[in-house]
Amino acid sequence: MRRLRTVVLLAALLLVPGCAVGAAPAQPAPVPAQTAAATMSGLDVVFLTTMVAHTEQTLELVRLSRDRVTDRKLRTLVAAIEVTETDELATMRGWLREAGPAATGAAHQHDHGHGTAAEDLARLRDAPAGEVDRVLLDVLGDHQDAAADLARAHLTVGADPRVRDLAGRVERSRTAQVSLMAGLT
Amino acid sequence: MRRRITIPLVATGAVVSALAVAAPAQAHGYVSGPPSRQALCAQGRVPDCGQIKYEPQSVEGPKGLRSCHAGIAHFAVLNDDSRGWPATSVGSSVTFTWTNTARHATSNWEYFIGGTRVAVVDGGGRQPGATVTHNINLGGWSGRQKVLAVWNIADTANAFYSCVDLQIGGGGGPSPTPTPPPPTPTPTASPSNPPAPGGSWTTGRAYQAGDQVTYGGLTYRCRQAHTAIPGWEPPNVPALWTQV
Repeated sequence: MRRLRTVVLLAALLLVPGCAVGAAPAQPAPVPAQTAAATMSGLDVVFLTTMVAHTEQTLELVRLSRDRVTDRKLRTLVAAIEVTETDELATMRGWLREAGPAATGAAHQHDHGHGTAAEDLARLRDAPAGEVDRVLLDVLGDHQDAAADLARAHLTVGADPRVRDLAGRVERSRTAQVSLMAGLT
Repeated sequence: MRRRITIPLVATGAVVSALAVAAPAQAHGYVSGPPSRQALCAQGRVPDCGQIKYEPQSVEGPKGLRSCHAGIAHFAVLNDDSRGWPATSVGSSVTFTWTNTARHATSNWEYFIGGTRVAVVDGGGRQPGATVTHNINLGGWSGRQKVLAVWNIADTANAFYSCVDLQIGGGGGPSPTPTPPPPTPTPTASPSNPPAPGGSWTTGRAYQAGDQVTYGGLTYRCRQAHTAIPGWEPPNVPALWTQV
């Protein structure tokens, strides 16, 4: 929760006018020697970084709602999403560490505001008891749909076979989850 | 906002990481297909691009610029036409795909060739999807062209810039795909194996903790109740299945 608020705050700061950077004389960033696994491309790193942030948000959504969901099937799905994405998150963070400081440096400066908007999280947090299922289906459905989109886009450009395999599984599982959730509305 | 502007060159990775953790967000979107210059750098198809390799989505600057690098000095390689950027062969109609790592509310998307705006797509001030595709008609243009694609954000003064090199018409074949995705392996339970109690793993079926299935000739026990879906094949989700 605290992290999420931080994320939202950072996103809000970014939107403050005056943050325009184009005209400023920028110092070139130090480009550390590449120590990434030979098969990990820059795009793989970008995808993993984006998906790490996205998955962190999934887990926030789950934690915000799991004890308040009433529908049994939805409760089961949410619990399964939590354990599978917790594993995926650990895997992706491991690969990013393996990719070396250049990649993780880029990863950390990466946006944190991807995906679910602050107002959606607030909607879920503030949903009265009878509305939690409906709001979660709406917000989590959109969120998982976005993950499927990102993964699908990466399938055609990814380099590392492990990352492409993960993207394939993300694409298929999130797409199927969206279908399951559509059946619960 | 941009940490490289305010922070002098730092030597150690540890310091870079510590600062990076505290740095605000700044990465947002780029044209992934046909591959933009920053995408080619990130894919490694064009070498020695510098830091853009790790942040193709960060080419952000004030609205109204007409350069490939948004005026950002350390991305200047993107504006260097002498770098031998490979051009993607296309017909007169081109589908551009944006990959958005932050989904900012959008004013519009613009496409330029030279000084001519060849297309504009309204964003309606709405938040776009994680990916966005536009089918743009480039009829009337031919040969090698540099397309500048611009994503104008609705609620900031900024835009994101991507240059895409195209070879339009002239018998151009399908665009070269650097790394064609392999067919997604969808292993199925081996039919030659006698089914264990519970039968073979089947999508759409609800499993309870303790249920056993076969998959790919191996037997798995369910660890947590769930409905089986593609992508959650037993060997892929150790949180849900343990091999027996």
